[in-house]
Order: sequence, then structure tokens, then C-alpha cells
Amino acid sequence: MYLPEYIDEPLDKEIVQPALARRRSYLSIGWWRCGYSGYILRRLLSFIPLAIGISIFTFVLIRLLPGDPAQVLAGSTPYSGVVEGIRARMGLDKPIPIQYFIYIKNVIHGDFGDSWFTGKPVAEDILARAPATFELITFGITAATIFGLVLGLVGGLRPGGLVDRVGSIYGFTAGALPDFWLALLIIFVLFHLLHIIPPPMGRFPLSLTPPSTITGFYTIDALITGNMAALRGAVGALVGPVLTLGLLYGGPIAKLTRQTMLDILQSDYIRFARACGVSDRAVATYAFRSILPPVLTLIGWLYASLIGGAVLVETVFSWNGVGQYAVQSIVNKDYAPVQAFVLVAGIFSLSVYLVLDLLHMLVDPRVRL
Amino acid sequence: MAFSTKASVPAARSEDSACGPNSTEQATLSVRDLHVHFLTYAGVVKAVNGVSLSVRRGEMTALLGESGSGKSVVAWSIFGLIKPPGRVVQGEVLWRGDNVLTMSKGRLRELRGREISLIVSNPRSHLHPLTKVGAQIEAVRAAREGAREATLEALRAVDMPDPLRVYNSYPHELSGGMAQRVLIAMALINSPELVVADDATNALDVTVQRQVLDLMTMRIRQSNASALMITHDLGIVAQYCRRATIVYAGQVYESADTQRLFENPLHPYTQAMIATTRRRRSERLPPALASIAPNPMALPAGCYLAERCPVAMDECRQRMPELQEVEPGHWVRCLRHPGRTATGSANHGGHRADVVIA
Amino acid sequence: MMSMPKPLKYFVAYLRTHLDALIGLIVVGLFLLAAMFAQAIAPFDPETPTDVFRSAPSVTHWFGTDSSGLDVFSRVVYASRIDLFIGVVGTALSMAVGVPLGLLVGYYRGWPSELVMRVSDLLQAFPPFVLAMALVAIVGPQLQNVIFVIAFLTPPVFLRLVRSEVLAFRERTVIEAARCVGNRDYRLLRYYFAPNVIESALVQASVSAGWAIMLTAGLSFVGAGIPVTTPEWGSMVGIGAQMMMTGEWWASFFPGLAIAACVLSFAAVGEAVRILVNPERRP
Repeated sequence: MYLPEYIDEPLDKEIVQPALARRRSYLSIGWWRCGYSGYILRRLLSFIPLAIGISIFTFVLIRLLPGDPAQVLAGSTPYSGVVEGIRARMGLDKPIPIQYFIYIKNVIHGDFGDSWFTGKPVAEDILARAPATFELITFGITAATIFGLVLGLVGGLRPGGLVDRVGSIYGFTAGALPDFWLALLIIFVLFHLLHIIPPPMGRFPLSLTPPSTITGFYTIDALITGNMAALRGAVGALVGPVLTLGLLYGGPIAKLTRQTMLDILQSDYIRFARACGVSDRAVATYAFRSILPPVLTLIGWLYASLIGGAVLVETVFSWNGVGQYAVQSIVNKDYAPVQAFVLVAGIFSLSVYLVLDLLHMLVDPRVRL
Repeated sequence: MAFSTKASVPAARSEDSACGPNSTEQATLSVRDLHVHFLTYAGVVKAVNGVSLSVRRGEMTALLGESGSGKSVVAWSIFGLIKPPGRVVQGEVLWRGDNVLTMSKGRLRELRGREISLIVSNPRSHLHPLTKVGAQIEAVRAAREGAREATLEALRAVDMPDPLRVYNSYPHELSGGMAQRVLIAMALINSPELVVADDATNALDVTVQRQVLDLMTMRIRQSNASALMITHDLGIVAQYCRRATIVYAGQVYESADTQRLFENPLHPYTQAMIATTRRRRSERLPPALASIAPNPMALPAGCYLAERCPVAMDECRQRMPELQEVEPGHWVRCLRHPGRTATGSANHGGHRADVVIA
Repeated sequence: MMSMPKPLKYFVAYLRTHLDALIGLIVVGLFLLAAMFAQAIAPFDPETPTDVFRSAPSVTHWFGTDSSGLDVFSRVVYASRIDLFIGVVGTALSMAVGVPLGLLVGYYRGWPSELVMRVSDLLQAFPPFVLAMALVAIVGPQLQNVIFVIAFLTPPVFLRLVRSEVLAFRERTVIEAARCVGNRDYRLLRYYFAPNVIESALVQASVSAGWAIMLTAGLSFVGAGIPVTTPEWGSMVGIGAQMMMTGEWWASFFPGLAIAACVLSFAAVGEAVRILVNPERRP
């Protein structure tokens, strides 16, 4: 009989050992030398040039407008001396590269210019409106995730069944519905016909006082301070827009979840696990773990895109968030806020993508090496 | 690949000669007239068209065929895992007397991985990529307690150099040979009675293949289990298996004890196969068989091999021959070997007559 | 080894079993007809008000009238011209930019390709709608500007798609063999890569056309796109928005429905094309 010797051990060593050696040295040498962190570092470093690119782009954007930039930014302000003030603040008499650095310097110090329409610094305007938008998109993506996951998972588990057919149609049509139209329809049905939601006049009923600001989220603040009336008001106002966003963004989630689920259930490893007699529960764990990477990535990506995607919904519901601010500013030819919004939204998306990549690393071990 | 047809194949016992592919004497697994079809938009793919074979206790049987002959489909049918668009349209798979295809879920759960286990080729695509290997082996193990110890022991038993390291690894971190051994460990951890090895060493290079095969067969023999080796490698058949069944386009074409098969291959297809391996250094390779396998959506009326057979007769294209027992334990499906039942005379025995090819 | 049935026969069989693709094809056809024969189909002039204000759908006014007394149905029919035109032309332009660029970027390595990819990533980092609004505001709200903005914002999608296909394809032995035989780069790109890539690009085009229509509608809804007098589905929804709040749903409902139907049918046709041209996906 031929006794096997450890012939393939050297080969294994070449492939497996270095990676595992790196991991063992995690504690002894220091994290910066190890495989994981090399990837993290690279990813962080790639953020900077993109951020710079975004800033250059927004800088150029305003300069594209015809006429004197200072005049453009001053707009129809009734106050005199504003144009000169802007010219000085932004160094518009200096050469363009210097202007860019002044711009960056101002941005870092929080100076995004002034909105001639509201009369206030843009930074102040944005900060005042940001919580509204964040509350909306956070609840919106949560609703979308719930709709999408439930329909996708059930549809994938029982293909051809009722839920699957409904889910497929939903996934297909959701992306085709114009958001502003759906918002109006929801208002028509839920407000005008059924009187379930309050009139679309903002994030909080005018008759009540908003809860004291802790997080900026009316719902959480109301919950923390025990202000039940405020909670009801905030939730009521949220129903319309959150439902709109949830229905719209749940579609792609449902579609991806269902497709991934089907692919997984047909996959070699699931079939093999069944043949090995692995319990149903363990098989379900395998399937779930396989679904996470792509679905999480999608949800994160959608969240990043919501900051711009909620703009029209905010406008229809008079939400007074950042998105509506941007739209208003464009219509009013108030360009400083537009520039600021594009910059902020760009940086925000970039940051979310970065976090997504790092999360992906956590969830999928294949990426790490 | 160097091998010898004589060395390790045990001689056929005399009482086995009465058994053939359709016999169930002493058989633990018996596949009977299995027909599996796949219903697609383009048409019906007839993957398996009447395969019968049996595996006896403690024996290693080979299921030999080229790619596309339906061997893997047979393997998955044994586990009752033919799912739509595939359907078993006819036949039974008897395990200890019960038909796998009509078993209850509970009984199937007892059977899969415990009484019958599966080893596949291409291990890394069959292991879950996001779970550690140790956890996956534990998931297969039937008993709940002592899982970690038993898993490490199983890894040691397949000669893993560092069981603990492998236990904590992900499949993509292992080499091909190591991953294959993981599959073997998974297959043997519950001490099954039958191991189905579907092209188990296909993805490995030759030296590793040898080690892995030896290891596998050693462990199987040690636990006195039976094995169904599904392969297209004659070397493996010759070295490890007692019986061999040759399958083509979903049908059995020859079935015999391995030693007899190599000494006296009856079917022209078998002869052509063996001729490619058995030659001295000075000889040239024999010519390959013409054409390719038939389209499983449009199988011909006559013998499926008629297109390619070098000694095909006109009648071959019109009539599908029956599987006949030409000599004790040696079954052939060929019009040139009518067998006892057809002619009634003793037209059996080890004659090769006019079908020499090599 | 298996002979596949002829594509046309397969197409017909596919349509028969897949209602959605069939309906999609029909609807696209209807919209095209509406666009081409608007004058013959529409009963009223889209820009001349009638005497009837805010009337619900009726026999004379199938979709009712809006707050200015304009017949909604006629406007919807006329608007299909503008929206389809923008969608098709804008997408065609962006393909003309994105596909060749994608071929080049995927084929050639080196810093120019990297640069183009970074710029493309940059463009995709911004929320598209707001960027489109800003750009249109800068260059002026007119029809051709909307098309240019779409042609500016959409190429990254095609670029990415084509590039990934080229990257996968260039490793195949077919290409190695072709190169060994002596084909030069241009020939390779044109005769080997391009045909393989064009299929998925076309499928993407149907989706992008739908997206372009949505973008146009959204821009016009807030008044940052097509000027309001020209009938366009989005601006019609905007006009009817106030009426919606008071229960007069028809002025906003039908134009929006047209948008949804148009986008959906484009996507359905694209989906059918996708399944048909890729033999592996045929069930």
C-alpha cells in the first residue's frame, strides 16, 4: 500500500502561510504592517484625491455662469456693498488658482458663502435644515429595506408563488415611477381621500411646538423627552414622505434580494450542503450569510443616493430640508447654496462609499487577502 | 499516468458471477432503470435513459463515462436531489430496500451525509465561501456533542498537516489538495455505509490526485464502506474498483468486473477507450472515435454509439440493442454480442472475434 | 453541441410566454405612434385653452382639463414628442461618448485610462438630479440644453459597463490568437470587442432612456427644465399639483402615468433584449 507523504505541504506553505503569518503578527508587530490595514489605508488614501476632485468641480461650476461671479452670488440682494464684500471674501480679483485655495480655506472654516434669498450664511441654512433631511432619509431607507427584504426573501424562497409574483412586479415597476408623482398620489389618497396623514405642510404640525433638540430627529427627541403629542405629530408628518421613499427604493432592494436568493439556492455549495445532510437551519444560515454582502452594499449605495434623491419628495411635502433648499435656490437663482449643496452631497456620498467598502471587508472574508 | 491493471484489484469471487447490473443480491444500493429528464425552454434534455447498477457491501464500483454521459445526474439522483427543471421520469433508487425518490423528508435527512455521503470535484466551489471550514464540517456531523474534537480528529485522519489552522480557515485560503481532503473528511465523519465520489480528484494535479485517492480508498476500506466511484479515468477504475459500469448518453453499455473488463472488453467503445491507455511506448495513439456524443434533446432511434462506432452495422442505426449478459457477470449492449438469451447458443466466453480495434 | 432554435422563432415563443415583454413592446409602439402622429390623434391644440376649466375626465376631454383650461389628453399626446425625443437622442449621444471611451479605457492600460476612470467616478459621486438642475440652470432651461446635460451625465454608466466587459473579454484566448495573427488594435477593437459589447450596451440604453425621461420630467416639474408652455409630462404634473391637493387628480395623474408607462415599457423591452441576446440566460 502506498503511504501518502506530505508532498503538498510546501506548496500550501507558499500560499497559505504568508497570509496566516500576517494575521498572527497582528498583535506582535503592529496593525499597520498587516494585510487588512494595507487595504484600509489604501482605501482611505484614495478618498483624498476624489474629495479634491469634487471640490475643484464645484469651484468650477459657479464660475461657469455668465457674468461677474460676485454679482451672480450677490443675486437680487437689496443691500449695497454686498458685491464688494463677496469679492473681497472670495478673493475674486486674484488669479484663479489662488481663488481656489481661498475657496478651500473658506470651506474648511465653514464659510460657504451667503444666501441672498434668506439673507443668512449658507452654512447656517444647511445646518438648520440638515436634521430634517437626515431624519427623512434614514426612516426612508429603513422602510425601503423592510419592504425590499421581506418581498425579496419570501419571493426567492418560494419562486412562482403569489408573493414572488407581486414582488417581481413591484421590483420592476418601482424604478419607473416618478418620485414627485408618487408623492402626489400618496397625498391624494392618504390625505385627501382617507384623511390618514396631515396636510403636506412640513415635518411638524404648526399647531404644536417641536420637542427640544437633542439629536435633531423630532421622533427620537420626542421619545427621549416623553413628549407624546410631539411624537404623534412628527410620525404623522413622516408617514407620507417615508412611504413614498420606501416604496420607491424598496424596489431595487427587493429585486436584488430575490435574484441573489435564487442564485444562492441554486448554487453548488447549497446543493452540496443538502447532499451532506446539513440541517435546514444551517443551510438557511449559509444562504443568509451569502446574501449580506451584495444587499448591504446596495442599501448603503441607495442611502448615499438618497440625499439627492429625496429632493423632489421634500419639495412636494414642503419638508424644508436641504434638498428643498437646493431646489428653491436654483429656481431663485441663488447660487451659493447650490454650490454648497453639491459639495456637501458629493463628500457625503464619497464617505458613505468608503464606509461601505470597509463594511464589505468585514462581511466578506475573500476581500481581505 | 502509470498504473497496472493487476496489482490491487482483488480477484472476482466465484459467487459474484451470477450478479450483474440488474441484480440486487447483497446490494446496499440499487439503481433500477433510472430515467432523468430536464425540461427546458429549448426542449427536453434526456440526461439519463435507463441506467441500472448496484453497489454491493464493502465493494468499490466504478461508473465510467465521458463528460455529458449523465454520470453526475445519477449521483445526485441517489441523494434525491434532482430538482426542477430536472425530473426523474422513471425508475427507482433502492437503498436497503427503500426507494430514495419517494422517501419522506425525515428519512432523507437520516440518509444524506450519514448513511450515504458525497464527495465532489472542484471543492472550493462546493464549500460555502463565507464560513470557516471547521464550522462547515461540524454542520455535517450528525451528533451534536464533541463536534470540535471530532472535526479535528477527522482532519487529522485525512493527513492534514495542521488541523487547527485548517479548522479556522476559509475555503479560499486552502489549496486544492487540502480542500479536497476537507471534503473527504466531511464525507467520512459520520462513518457512512456508502460513499459516492463524483469525479473526486478531477481538479487536482496528478501527484496530489494519487495521494488523495489512496487516502480516500484506504479510509473507505478501513470503515468497510462501499463506494461508487464516478470517473472518466480508466486508471482509477483499474486501480481501485472491483466492478465497472460504462455509461454513454445516459445508458449502460457495458458492465463487468474490472479485471475481466480489461482482459476482455467486449463493446467497441470500451475497446477504443482501453486502447488509448494500453500501449507500449513505441506504438502510436490509436485513432480517436469519430464525431461527438449525440444531442440529448434529439437522441437517435438506434444505438447511441452507432455514429461513432468503427464497426457499426446498418442494423445498429435502426435498432437499440438490449443489455445482455454475454458471460457470467459481464453485460454488454451491442448487436455484435447477442449473448445467451438472443441466440440461445453458448455464444459467450472470452472471445473477441472480429472486433479488434487497437 | 446543441443546436439552438432560430432566434426569430425563439423570440416569438418568448413573447408568447412573457406577457410583460409583449406588452412593453406594444406600449413603446403606441408611444412612438403618438409622438409621430400627434396632430392626427390629439383632439385639441395643446397650447390653446378651451372654455372648460378644471373639468374631470369626460367624453369630450378624456383626461379632463387643467387649471388653465387646456385639454390634458392632447397635451399628453404632444408631450410624448418632447420626452421621447429627449430620451432617445440624449441616450444615443451618451452612448456615442460612453461606449467608445469604454472600449478604449478597458483596452489600454496606463495613466490616461486611470484618469478617465477617476473623472467618471467623480461625476458619479454627485447626486445626479441636483447636478442636472445646477447645470441646466447654468446653461439655460431649453430643450437642447437638457439633452446636453443628459449626454454629459449619462456616459459614466456606459463607460463602466463597457469597460468591465472589455476587461473580462481581453483575457480570453480568442484575443490572444487574433493578436498573434497580426491584427492591430483598431481592428481588434472594432471587429472583436465592439460586437460583443454592443449587446449589453443596448440593453443598458433602454434603461438609460427611461432614466433620461424621468430626469427631464423631474427638472420640468420644479421649473428648471423645459419651459412650462411646451407640453411636457413633468411640467404638466407640476401644473396639476395644486389641483391634486384639492382632489382634482386628473391633471397630474395622467401625465405621470404616461411617464411611468413609458419608462416601464422601455425597461421591459430592454429586459427582453437582454435575455434574448445572451444564450446562457435563456431558460
